[in-house]
Amino acid sequence: VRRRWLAALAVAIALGAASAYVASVHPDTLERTADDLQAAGVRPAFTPPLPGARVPGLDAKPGGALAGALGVAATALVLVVVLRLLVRRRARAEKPHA
Amino acid sequence: VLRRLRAVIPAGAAREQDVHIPDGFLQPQVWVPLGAVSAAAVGYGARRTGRELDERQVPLLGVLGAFVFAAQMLNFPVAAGTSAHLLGAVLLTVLAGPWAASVVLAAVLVVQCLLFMDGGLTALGANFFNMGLLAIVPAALAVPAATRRWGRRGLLAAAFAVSFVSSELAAAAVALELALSGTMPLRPALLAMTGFHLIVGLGEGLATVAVLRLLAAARPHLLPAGAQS
Repeated sequence: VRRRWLAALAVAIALGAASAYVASVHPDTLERTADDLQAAGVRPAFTPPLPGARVPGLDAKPGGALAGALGVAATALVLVVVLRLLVRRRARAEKPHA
Repeated sequence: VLRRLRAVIPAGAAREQDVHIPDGFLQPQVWVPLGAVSAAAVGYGARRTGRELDERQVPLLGVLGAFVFAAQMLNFPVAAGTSAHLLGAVLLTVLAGPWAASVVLAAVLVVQCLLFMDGGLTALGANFFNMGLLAIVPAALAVPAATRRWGRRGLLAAAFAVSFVSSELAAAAVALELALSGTMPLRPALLAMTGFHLIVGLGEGLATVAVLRLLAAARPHLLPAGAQS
């Protein structure tokens, strides 16, 4: 069963990586306007580790593919950790009553 | 119609119809209340998820979140030099229920924001409200009712309809929030966002139905009771 979930996760990671090659390249309306606003002095709240969904220092497509794969893997990891914590918290709360 | 839309859309707006609002677009009087509503919704969703979730469902939700994240990266061309991506909230609600869907979608948005700055930190609550709550709530109300009444056909029809409507709702909400913040005038923003999202909503609906049909054929036990056979 675990192997099946890992295989599904691998497919999702591959999709995230493929997005750099197959996704439409048109810039985002709001991002574009954000650029205009930055020129007027508005700045993002912080600098992210993978700005623009791209690994800094790599070319656009490989950098985007790696960033996509990392993002998908990070989402799965965050969810598994958070959901396990939630489930275990309930289990701990139920223990004294058992 | 597209020509008329382009005529009223501000320069640069006829590009990608994304609903991730970045930092600097919303004023505090807009993002603070939306952030509070979203935080309360995610907090309650997390509490209910913790109460109801079976540990064996954890990998399923992790993988669902991973697929939604990947799907949101796959921008597809819409029309007139625009592109858009799927939201996935209706699909999550159908497969995981509204409480878990809210947690999964919140995780997707937080990772997108913190890792890529796709959607601003101050706009995180607004983004969850637009892409999450406005899809999860109607899906949680309409899809189970349609499934009880008409079985799998009802599920697919309701999932399609809610996907379409929620895409329009998200677009309209973004336009309204931008207008309330003084970032864009309401009329052109509303026309641009909801006009193009007519096509985006159709894509969202078709993709949601396609995934549900695929699961119905390959893994029917993942569908809600009443739609498994």
